[in-house]
Amino acid sequence: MMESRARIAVIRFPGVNCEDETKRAVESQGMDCDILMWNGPRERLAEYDGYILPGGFTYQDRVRAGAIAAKDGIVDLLFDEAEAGKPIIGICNGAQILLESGMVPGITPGKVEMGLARNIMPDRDGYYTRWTHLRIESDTSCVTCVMTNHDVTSIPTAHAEGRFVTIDEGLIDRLFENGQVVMTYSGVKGEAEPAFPLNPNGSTRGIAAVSNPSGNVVAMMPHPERAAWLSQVPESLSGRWGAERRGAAGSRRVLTEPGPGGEIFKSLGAFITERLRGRGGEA
Amino acid sequence: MNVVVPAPVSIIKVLGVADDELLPRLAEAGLTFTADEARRVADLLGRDPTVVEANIFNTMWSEHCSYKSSRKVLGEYLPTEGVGVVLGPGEDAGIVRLATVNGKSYCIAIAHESHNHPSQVVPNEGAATGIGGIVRDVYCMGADVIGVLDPLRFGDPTGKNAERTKEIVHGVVEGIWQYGNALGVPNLGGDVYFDSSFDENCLVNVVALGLVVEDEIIRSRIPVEARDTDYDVILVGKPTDPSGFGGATFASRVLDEERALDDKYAVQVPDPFLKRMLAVATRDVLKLARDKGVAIGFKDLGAGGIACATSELGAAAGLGVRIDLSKVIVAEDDLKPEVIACSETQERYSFVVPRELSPEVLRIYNEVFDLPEICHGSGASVIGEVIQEARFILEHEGAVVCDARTEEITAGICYVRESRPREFTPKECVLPDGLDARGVLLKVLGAVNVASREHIYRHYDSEVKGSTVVRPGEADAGVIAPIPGVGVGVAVACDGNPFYGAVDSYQAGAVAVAESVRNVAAVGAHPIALTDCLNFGNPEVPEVVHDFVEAVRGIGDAARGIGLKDSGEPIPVVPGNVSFYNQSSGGSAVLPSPIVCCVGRLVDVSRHLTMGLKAGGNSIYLLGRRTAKLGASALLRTVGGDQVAPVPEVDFDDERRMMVAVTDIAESGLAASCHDISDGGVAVALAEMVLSSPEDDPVGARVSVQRLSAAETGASGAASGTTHDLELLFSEAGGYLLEVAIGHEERLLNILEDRGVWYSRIGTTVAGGGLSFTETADRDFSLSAKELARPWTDGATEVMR
Amino acid sequence: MIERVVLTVALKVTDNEALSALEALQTKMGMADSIVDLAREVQWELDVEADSPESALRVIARIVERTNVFLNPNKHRSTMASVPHGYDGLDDDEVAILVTDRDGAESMAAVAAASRIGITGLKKASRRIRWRVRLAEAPSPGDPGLLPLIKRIGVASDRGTGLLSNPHSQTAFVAFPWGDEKPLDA
Repeated sequence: MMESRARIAVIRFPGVNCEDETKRAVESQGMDCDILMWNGPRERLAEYDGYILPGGFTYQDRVRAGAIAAKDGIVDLLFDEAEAGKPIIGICNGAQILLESGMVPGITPGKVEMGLARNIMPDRDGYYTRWTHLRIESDTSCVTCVMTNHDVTSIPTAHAEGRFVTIDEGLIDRLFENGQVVMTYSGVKGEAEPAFPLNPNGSTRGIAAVSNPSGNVVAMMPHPERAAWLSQVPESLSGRWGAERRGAAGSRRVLTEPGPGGEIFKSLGAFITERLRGRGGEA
Repeated sequence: MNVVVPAPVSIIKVLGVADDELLPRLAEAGLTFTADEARRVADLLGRDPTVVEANIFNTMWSEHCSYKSSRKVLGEYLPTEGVGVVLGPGEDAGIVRLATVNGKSYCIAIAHESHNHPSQVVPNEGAATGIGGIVRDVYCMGADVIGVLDPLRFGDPTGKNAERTKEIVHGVVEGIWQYGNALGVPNLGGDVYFDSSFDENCLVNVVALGLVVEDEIIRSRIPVEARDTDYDVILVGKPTDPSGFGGATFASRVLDEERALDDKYAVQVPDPFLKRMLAVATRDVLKLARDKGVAIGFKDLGAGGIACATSELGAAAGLGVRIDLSKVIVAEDDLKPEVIACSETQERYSFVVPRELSPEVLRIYNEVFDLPEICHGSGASVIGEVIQEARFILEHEGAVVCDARTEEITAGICYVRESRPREFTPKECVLPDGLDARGVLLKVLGAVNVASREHIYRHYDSEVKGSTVVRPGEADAGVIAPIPGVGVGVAVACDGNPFYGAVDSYQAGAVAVAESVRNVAAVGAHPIALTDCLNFGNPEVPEVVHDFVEAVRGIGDAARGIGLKDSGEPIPVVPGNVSFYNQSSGGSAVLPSPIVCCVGRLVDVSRHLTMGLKAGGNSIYLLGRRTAKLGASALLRTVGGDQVAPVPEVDFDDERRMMVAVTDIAESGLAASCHDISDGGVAVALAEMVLSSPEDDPVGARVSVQRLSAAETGASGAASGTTHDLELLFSEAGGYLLEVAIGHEERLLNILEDRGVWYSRIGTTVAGGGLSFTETADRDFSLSAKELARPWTDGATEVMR
Repeated sequence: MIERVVLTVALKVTDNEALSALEALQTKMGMADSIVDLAREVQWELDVEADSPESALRVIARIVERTNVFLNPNKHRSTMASVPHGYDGLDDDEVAILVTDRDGAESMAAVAAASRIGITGLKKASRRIRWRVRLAEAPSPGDPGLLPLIKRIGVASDRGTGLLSNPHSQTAFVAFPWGDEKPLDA
């Protein structure tokens, strides 16, 4: 059992559009991956070790991003799997679904405790795309468990509704204290709470990713599948990853070596291995 | 064969009717035919046409569908063939070979169109349906869409129409991101120009690229197997409604914005959500057909709707179709048959498949992907069948409403339009006295047609699909590695400087090709194909026709003159599009605007180049002579008032030599960065290279102005002092700048000498950023990165907001 | 004097957003028995410096005529009112749910655009969505089940419940055809 490869299901809700590259990024870290239809046979879902809700525009973000998909029946099944401790990552639109369905932050599971509001940016509105620097705030979640707190990584964002907000008093502090804030937007050296454009959407205290209390369900706005290989990293990017990318210019390493997003998927694999080992120990 | 048309079918009486009676009758029926054209229809049919037939011919003979004014010219001047061409113009997209990997021949499908009129009237929906239409053209070849580009031309943002222009800019950009980002195709670039000639006619061109394996290409025609097997015609997508009924004819007349569209169906409603679902489901359908080993035909529905698509499927095979319009899924009851036949409802495709495959095709769309549930009654249905006789038959509620020979429907008509040159001679320009080069550079950098386009492209998703290597703003062309796990790269760029069009249409066509080739070569890619979209005024005006012909001639000459790198054969112009009538009812036409897109191949994408300087202490080389001709230049527009002066002529041999050398240099890994010279000349190109270096490790440049010139071939001998410096710094004659590490210089020089390229080592890079010029005629000067950044970053932002 | 004008804008063309929301409510959320139809309108709350309500309406009419900042007549229809209520124009079997973003509902761009064409009267423009929900049974003031039903439609509170607003990023009101308005809390 220890040798068997982790199996990940990427859920294709209607309107997602990052499922193929997410699958490739998962596979690049030594896991198996299938794309499952949102309306497919339910029993298949339980066979997997972890789940990814990929980016895109479920139901074209009508009403609010993620709002309609959060009502799809498959989300009930994901609740059960999350309860069982399996990792679930919602990326961008997937994050919006996790918040709208009350899976994250999940202090009271199933209660909608946060929203991902429209970006607030000086002198512009709508969609905004940019590579961001991210500081790791919690190194135990299923997307950061191979990293160390206060590490800085770089991953691109692309969204119109990515601003984490809540009206529940004290919730944000509590999330930081609980280690449920997984990543924040930062300066290139990890400077906290930067202004636009380093914080690309006006998110409260620069929050970029939030988990449930156990850290196995993570809603993250940045797109790690767009940073899975060095070839995807811009040559002019600041920081460690930009330097790495420029250092590889002209060599095949550009194509073969993992980029910063690789560590996110590596964490997913490690999280699953750890979980299975834990269960093996119990048995 | 004489078919007796059943009584309830409405006909339009044409035969034996005089013009003064016929014209009002046609107008009343919403037909834009001339009286002669209507009679030609009746002659073809041997009887008066039904209302449905009249509408079909009216659409198929519109400029938009038939290219009636342009077809002959395009055929005469453009090279469309070559060893790498799988499919030239004629179908929805052109196809060229990219690379063979593990025995599979991967190809690039390309389509290029305009959606100008709709974008002027309803900017968001107009631009969105522009993308919607162009990606359908590529999907229906069996390809997966891997990128889109948008060349845009807007009015003067400070002129009399400023407010409307800003609304159009905002609406078009919003339409592009709302559609393209949701569909999930990366935006790989485009360009934007502003000029008052576009005040009442913006140009929204769209390019889509797709990846397809050669033996999986689906043709837009009924397969030959249909001669022996029963084939169904399937319609899939959005329920048919009257939207865009008459759209092709709308695009084929002078725009009268006063005639507001009050009909609720006049606006085409884009639905990228449905389009995404169709794209994913269609992959399964195509795979099903491949697995079963059956041949199918597949075509998108664009202008002319069901009638146009299904008749072309038939005509391409010499077969016929019989469609029952009553079987079309409609959005509302009581649609007239001509509306069902010709409406341009978005997000639809037609298939011809063997009858035994039909149930499975319907199941994929209607059950597996659940289209009727999640997309408001959309879905797939069988609407007709292939018939052996080459006739196009439409039935509606039991009556035959159209019965004509298929090829009569699709053959179209052709006009030779009168042509006459514009009477005007450009004059040598004179720069005002007392200019200082430093101030001019800051001014040009902040000019609305030069400054950074970042405000726009940050709206666009350039990274979805995960294969993007170079994004907009990082280099002269977008670069992707579209085949997972394989190092082959595709570079793509669009160009067309409209100010050349104001002076010399031939040069405008030629420079659009040269510039797009340069952009692709500057990232290290060999050009493999070109596309063009020709945006002009009213073709019934002889001067417009002359400009059009000249531009096409320029494109053709440049494609042949520059040629493919390896063989020297012409770079094939695989698909193209002509957009006439970009002219307001007030009479003003857009500047002649040939827009060209170049696709290039990188054998090893890890050897691509970007434009940001990489490290201090490297040498900077200029390739390509500067000239004193400043016509159409950003310099002249910024400081020279309204002067219309001669433009630099494209030297095809020089362009070819430089393209060959630059791609050699890239492939040998000898350059650290590369940027081509265009708007704003060497000065702006250098500033952009400095500003594109890493923020936390900035790199600047120190350059000798004297070295921009060569003793024997320098810019105009007449000028001296500051004027001469300005010519050198801001000449937009073709060329490149290269950053080269000192250790690589010897090998670099060998290549440049071998290839016979004019070059000069003009300076060095310096750590820390900034740009300084030495050996100037007047006073040496320098600018910090911050000083450069302000005008360049902000110059166009206010306009684009 | 500042006069308030409300400009209500609806699409002439098919509103896919309203259709998707209706489908979600009816099929995914099992409310097909209660909800018959759904329409969406954008309402601009506009503060205009003017001598009278009538002249405020004229200012807005001029902006609408000369710019497309609020609507494009080719695809939208619109109405204006100077004594606006969320319940204006409701049929007896409709309720309106009015949703406003907590941040960013105010449009500086609209004010700026108006002033660029020389219309300085517009001081503030704020945007909200008015969802018109047509119920299977006409609502009545005495029905104790009515407000819970509206909340199940209007406010996302937990998994499976509430669609049209997220209380953390948006505020919501309900307006009843008999002329009553109430905030909708989660």
